[in-house]
Amino acid sequence: MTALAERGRIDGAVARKPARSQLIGERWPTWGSVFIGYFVLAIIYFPILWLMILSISAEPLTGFPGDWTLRWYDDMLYGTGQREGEAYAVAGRVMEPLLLSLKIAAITAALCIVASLVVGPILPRVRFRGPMLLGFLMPLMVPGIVASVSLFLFYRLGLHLKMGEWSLGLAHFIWAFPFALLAMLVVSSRFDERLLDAAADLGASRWERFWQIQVPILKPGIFAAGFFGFLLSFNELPFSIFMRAGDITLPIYLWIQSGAHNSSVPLIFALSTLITIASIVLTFIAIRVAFGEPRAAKLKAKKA
Amino acid sequence: MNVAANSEGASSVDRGAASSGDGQILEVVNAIHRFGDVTALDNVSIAARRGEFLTLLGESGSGKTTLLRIVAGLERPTSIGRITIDGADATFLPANKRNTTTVFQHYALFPHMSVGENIEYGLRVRRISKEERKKRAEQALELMRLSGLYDRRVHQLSGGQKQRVALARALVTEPAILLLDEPLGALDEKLRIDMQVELKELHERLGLTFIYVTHSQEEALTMSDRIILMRRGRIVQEGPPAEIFDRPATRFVAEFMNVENLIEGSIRGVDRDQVTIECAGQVMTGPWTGRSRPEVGAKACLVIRAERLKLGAPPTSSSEPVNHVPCRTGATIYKGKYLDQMLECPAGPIKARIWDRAMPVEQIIGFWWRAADSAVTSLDAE
Amino acid sequence: MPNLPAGIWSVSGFTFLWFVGIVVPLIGIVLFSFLQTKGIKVQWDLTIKAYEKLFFYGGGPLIGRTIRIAATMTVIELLLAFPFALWLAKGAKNQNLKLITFTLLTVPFFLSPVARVIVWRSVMSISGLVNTGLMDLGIVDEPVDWLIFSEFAVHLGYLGQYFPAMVWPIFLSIALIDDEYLEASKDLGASRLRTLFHVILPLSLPGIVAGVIFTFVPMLGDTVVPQQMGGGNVLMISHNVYTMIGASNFVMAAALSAIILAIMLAFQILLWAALRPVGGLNNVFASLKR
Repeated sequence: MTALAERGRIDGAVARKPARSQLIGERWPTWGSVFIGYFVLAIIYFPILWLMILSISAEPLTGFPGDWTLRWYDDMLYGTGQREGEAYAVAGRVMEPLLLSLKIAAITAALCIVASLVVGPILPRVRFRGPMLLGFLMPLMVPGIVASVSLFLFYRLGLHLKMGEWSLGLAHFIWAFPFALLAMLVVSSRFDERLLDAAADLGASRWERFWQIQVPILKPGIFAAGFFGFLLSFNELPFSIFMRAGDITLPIYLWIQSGAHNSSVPLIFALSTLITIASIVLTFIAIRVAFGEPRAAKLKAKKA
Repeated sequence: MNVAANSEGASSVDRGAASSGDGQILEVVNAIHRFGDVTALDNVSIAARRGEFLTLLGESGSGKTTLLRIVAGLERPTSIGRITIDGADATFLPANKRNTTTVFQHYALFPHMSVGENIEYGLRVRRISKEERKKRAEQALELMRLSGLYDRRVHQLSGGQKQRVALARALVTEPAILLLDEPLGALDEKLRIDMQVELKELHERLGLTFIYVTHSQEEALTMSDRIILMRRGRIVQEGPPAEIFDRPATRFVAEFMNVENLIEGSIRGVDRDQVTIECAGQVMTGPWTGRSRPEVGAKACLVIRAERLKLGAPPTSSSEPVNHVPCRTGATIYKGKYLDQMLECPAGPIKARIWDRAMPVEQIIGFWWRAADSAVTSLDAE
Repeated sequence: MPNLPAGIWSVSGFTFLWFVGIVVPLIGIVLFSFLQTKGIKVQWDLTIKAYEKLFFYGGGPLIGRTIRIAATMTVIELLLAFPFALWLAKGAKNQNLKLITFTLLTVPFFLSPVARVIVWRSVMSISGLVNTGLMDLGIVDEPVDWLIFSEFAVHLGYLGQYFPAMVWPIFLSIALIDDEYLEASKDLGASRLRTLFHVILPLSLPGIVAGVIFTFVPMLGDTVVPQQMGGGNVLMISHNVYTMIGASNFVMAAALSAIILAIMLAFQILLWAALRPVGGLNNVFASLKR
């Protein structure tokens, strides 16, 4: 009887959408789960915000922040500061790791774009797509340190290759590619192959089909692949630890310094703050580009 | 059954002269196509005259779309004798070098381009100047009664509009042949009927060759100059709509063309084109429309449409031959405009169409039809 | 596939390189753990010396501790993330709040892990924010010393570090469940708990499995949290691998890695087997298309 009544309500089409949130939202023990979720988010964001606050505090290592100052930034960037007679290990040496990190991140991004553009459109349509995907996602399923040691032992001891920037780039690519590929697959598995037929039918050559049809439609995936490649490489640590010669990337630099004595910690705070802000800004831009465009198009559609 | 030989026999001799004038614009010879173990096309040959509206009709899996894609160059056949388009050999030309364009079933409009950019795409890859492109796109829009939609995004269009844009996009490059792959399949009933009329008008106005793929016998009958009916990768029958409709060659064709009553029996007598068959003691006569010459004793199928059956006894004064079969009445099915009356007769259940709702059906003990209204067909080779 | 600009050959080629580049080294490390080295020269004699040494020098408890902490935190993350993901997917109505939450859950992926936890050291230290606060309020008389450089601290560090990695896959899998199933379940008279256990839980299993893998696996090999939050008091495998490589003790590092790899493999085979009834890996493609 209720079933029939329910059917009738559902058939009344329009009444359906609001019905769903009534059904689940209000009756599950909502408030508890919401509180827990945002509490954990607070645990994630508190250290980030606190880091920023401490980075402009004169006494960042104790109790409550106060006596606002920018001297740590000044010290970090120009390396003039001295404290308790000890020259900062950090001072003025940030530029080199920063440039190296940017360079490797850019290379990783480019590699991710090219590779996901090669694999992404075809993978959903080949026979062994399941096992192949599993293979490509391997780095996500192996602890970073294990994968990193494996690569090191294979290339250094197995193939007797000298580590260097190439191996850093390779390690970063191996780490970032699974993410880039997944991002590309979200777009490419929806790509309608018939559009390529249509273009060919209208006289477009192979290259024209690629550049004028496939690339523009896969643009969000290409962008995401590049973004993943860049940021994941920029902040990558476990793979970098072994897959380098003497090269010091920014995360390695941070890692070494943060393990060292306390006097350089305030500078680490300042540096971390800068990196964090840069990463957040880049992420926001990426989210805007990813979600912003269809929105703008929808608005345009509504106007017309 | 080689259709090329059927239509324009001598074409292969002086194609150059003929094709520039009135002759054949398309010729496909001995196309074979396999997908793995499945044979999609089993040695099929077709030809189309310049300006013809040719329909490839068949159910899904009959090979009609594969054949169209082979003509377009989108599918490379497993083996092919020859493809000639507009007098030039196109056997090994890729799709982008062929002078044909396709209207796809689901439109395949480029989602990242505006309506105008979509229509201009074929001109763009032909390196035609921007101004010229825009001019011709506007003309095409006007032709399809879509003026003013040049800057629209594709996703803002209705199904019917998308269909017209797809047509405009295919026409703007002035192809030798326009290929249409179930173009009305995704539209709703009413729009489909309107578009049928519009397509037919467009065809007459442009004088262009249309090759049209559909599974709908109604669409095929309404629009075509000639129909090629396909089944399991082979051609079963080809000819003008009236011929396919009235003179089915095999039981399958009759069934596909929605002939309601199919009575299988053995041939008892052949008198020129009139064939008498017997089924469950009933003897019936009809004109032979089957493939090979009818032979006494062979199996055949008498086909008769429900609306050609008349209830009661045949008029005694009739000068032409009629068939008369006794029956009992079965269920009556209400169809709105008419009634379908089921009849039980020795040869099996029969469906008759009644237009007069007040007609008393209970006392009916037989029905009849003019022998010329039925046809006797071959059975299908498996 | 004539239409594809980078044909099947380039994909095959790339796939081959990928397997040589990453899969072969992973297999290689297992083989390597049974060898011996002199400097960086490999000696090709099979031996299990590395494993003997590893366990003699306390490898067992080390691996045990690492797995225990990672497993505990994976379970906690799952229990915290599932209701939150369920609410995000089916309960939350406010679109702006959802968008902000998605952003908050995305940003941490792209931040330096060191930068994300380093500040705890100052917050939790004896003279740090928490202890100062506790003492000012009179809750404790002496500073609490287990807030940092302790197992508690490592757990806390993991909590924030891996929460988004658990929420995302579960959220995606629940969001893909058609509302009609839930309505049908209710329609048939199922209680909310029954709907949860009989409809939502089985259908979101792929997401749960993915979430568990994406948190448990990196926790095992995390370099940053044990170092920053454990401060040498909580040794986990990453630290040992690092020191072994630093001391050119390659084979022992390989043996330790091989053990972890074996545990991972067994764990994941178990999980994927659990996934079989709902369609396995090819399902990933199906759900991507939605």
